[in-house]
Amino acid sequence: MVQVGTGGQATGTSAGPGHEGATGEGSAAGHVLECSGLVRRFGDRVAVDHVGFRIAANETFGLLGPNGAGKTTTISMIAGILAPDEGEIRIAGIPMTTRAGAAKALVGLVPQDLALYPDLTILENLRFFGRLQQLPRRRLAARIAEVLEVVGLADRARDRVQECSGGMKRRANIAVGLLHEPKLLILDEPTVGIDPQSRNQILESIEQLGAAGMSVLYTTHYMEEAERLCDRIGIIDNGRLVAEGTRRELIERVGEQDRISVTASGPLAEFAAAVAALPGVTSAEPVETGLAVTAVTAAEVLAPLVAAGERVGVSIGSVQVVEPDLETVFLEVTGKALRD
Amino acid sequence: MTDGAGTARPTGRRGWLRPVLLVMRTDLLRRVRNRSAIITGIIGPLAMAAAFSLLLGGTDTVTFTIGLADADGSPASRAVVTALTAPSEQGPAEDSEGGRVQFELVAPGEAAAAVDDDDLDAAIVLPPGFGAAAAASSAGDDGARAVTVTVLHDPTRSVAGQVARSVADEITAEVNRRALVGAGLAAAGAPRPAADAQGEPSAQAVVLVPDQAGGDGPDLTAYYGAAMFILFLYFTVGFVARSLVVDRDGGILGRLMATPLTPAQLIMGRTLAVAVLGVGGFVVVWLVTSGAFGADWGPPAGVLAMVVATVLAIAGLGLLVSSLGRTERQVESYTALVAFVLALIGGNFIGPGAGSDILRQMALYTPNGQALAAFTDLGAGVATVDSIARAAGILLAIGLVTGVVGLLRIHRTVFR
Repeated sequence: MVQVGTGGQATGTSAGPGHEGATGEGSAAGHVLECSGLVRRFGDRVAVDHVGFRIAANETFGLLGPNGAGKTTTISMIAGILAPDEGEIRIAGIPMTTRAGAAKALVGLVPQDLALYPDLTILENLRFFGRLQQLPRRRLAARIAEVLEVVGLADRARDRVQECSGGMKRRANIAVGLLHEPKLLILDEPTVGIDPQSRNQILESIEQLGAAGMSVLYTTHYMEEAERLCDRIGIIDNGRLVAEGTRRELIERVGEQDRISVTASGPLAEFAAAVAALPGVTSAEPVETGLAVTAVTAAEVLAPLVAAGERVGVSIGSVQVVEPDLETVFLEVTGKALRD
Repeated sequence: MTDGAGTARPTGRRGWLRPVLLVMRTDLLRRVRNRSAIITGIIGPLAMAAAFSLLLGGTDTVTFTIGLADADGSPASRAVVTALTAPSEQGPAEDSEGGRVQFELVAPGEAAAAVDDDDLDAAIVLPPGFGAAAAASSAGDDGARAVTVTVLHDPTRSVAGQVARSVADEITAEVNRRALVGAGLAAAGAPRPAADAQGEPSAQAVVLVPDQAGGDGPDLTAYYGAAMFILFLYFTVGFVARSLVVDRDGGILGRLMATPLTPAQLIMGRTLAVAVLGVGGFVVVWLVTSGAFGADWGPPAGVLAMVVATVLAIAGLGLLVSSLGRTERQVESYTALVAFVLALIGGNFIGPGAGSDILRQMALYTPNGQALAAFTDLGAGVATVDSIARAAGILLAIGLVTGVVGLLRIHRTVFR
């Protein structure tokens, strides 16, 4: 057995002493999560196809991909909900397959759905899930007070969940995942379907948790969330992890290229083919509103691009040049745009 | 033991049971708070039981009027008629099959019409030759014709028919018993008893009908209280699978399974909650119908044993049935279908002892039919320790087998 130092596991409030004494079985260099070769099939469909990555202590790792890419299946395996058909998962060195109980205790899951009982109060939900995590009674009471402060629901604890607003429910959903001071907090698209103000509140909470030293696995299909929150990002598509690295590493991977967003209508497929054939254009992909183009130098291709549009008969509404970002990376590594 | 997350982890049986009880308590709290426990567990059965009792005459028992037609006119047949139609100091006799019974003399040629016109609930016809056959049998005459008593009844009033059949059975059984005694005495060369030699069965012998039937007759409020509660119980126990499917679709199951809670503990906790609700609701219905409506369920120990056995049987069967559904709607549909079909077959909607012979036989192959038969016997005061133990044993076996299969199916369909 190797003692694994995870370091600084505070949740923004007070860290439990148990964190410091976690023991693993060979976790490399303080990695809170190590997974490798994960495969999960549903019938003939391969939902997750040999996915593997690591998350270091204090790191926020983003899993970026469109709906149906395999994000939720991947984190379900990491959280111990689904058994992988192949591959291995270790939480702080503890194998999920053989010591699921101990490994699960180190993971906090915030599912995409509002996984709370609507007919119970926020407080009753917290008590229930906290006791399932086998927190001693007094420790649980203290932790409930702490997590309610973290998510800003201290004064609404006795409200029934069914009477709460969408944003409050989302925050309560996160609070449950934090209760037992997990080493790894998994958040599965926690901002889906809520108003911008609540969304921002949640993102700020997650930033605080990350800054306080918690390891976070964050799945999203919102590029800007991944860019804002994550130290490293894995891009997943069709069940495969197609790229992984820091934001800078990923952007460097596709080169210092510009992205040109063209709003257009008409024969977009022909337009894409014509633009793709232009010198200096590295990719051209039809999207819902027009065309997404990457080019070595945007200025050099703008005029030929407009000319190509006129030639194939599309009506161009606007042309916008944007800095290289994860959208560009996604387009490059998957060959398609990251759509909602 | 403390792990890396600073959580206390109890080990052993107590450690395994603690989350089970936590799940059970939380489910009970939710069921009480959303009022489903009160509606399906108490108000529904009580309302239905009261409605059924009112529909059947607004009393807690039914009185059947059985016509007696003497087509023989012999001393023996007259003795039977006189014994049954004579005014009783205690009022109408009570029968174990369906309530209180009173007899009326009717002319043989008018019996069928009286039944058709609903003047009588049913009629018993003592056929020509009844007295002669009885006398010959009593004398040990091997060539004596068998005594056949005819029962007339309207097929749509099967309870009354069943009551009349029971009375007729008692009459023929008594005559046949005397034939056996007579035959035995003749074979031994002993002289016949004087009364039998005259072909005049004593009044005391024929009056055995109410005595041998015994008991107080089933109480309809108690019967329908049990019947309706069992019907609602099917829906109550369907909650286990239904809630798991809802939790799965709503993401709560994922969160639950991300804790150290195991699927077996979750299912066990939910099943226990349903069992507690079932037994609790049953006891409340029992107490309310007894206290408020004066229903007589029978000996409390027997009733309690049957309540527990019935709840466990329906819980097991409910688990199996609801495990067939993959969505909440499917679970509800399967539960409703099976509940109503079994309730129809098992006799939940009709009175005690009602229905055709086939239906009454089929009822005993349903858990609700088995339970209702036992509750009927308990209420009528004819149940024995053996009969209740046998019924409870059958119900527990049904619950165990179907429950285990149901649990395995739910585990496979919901948790994979």
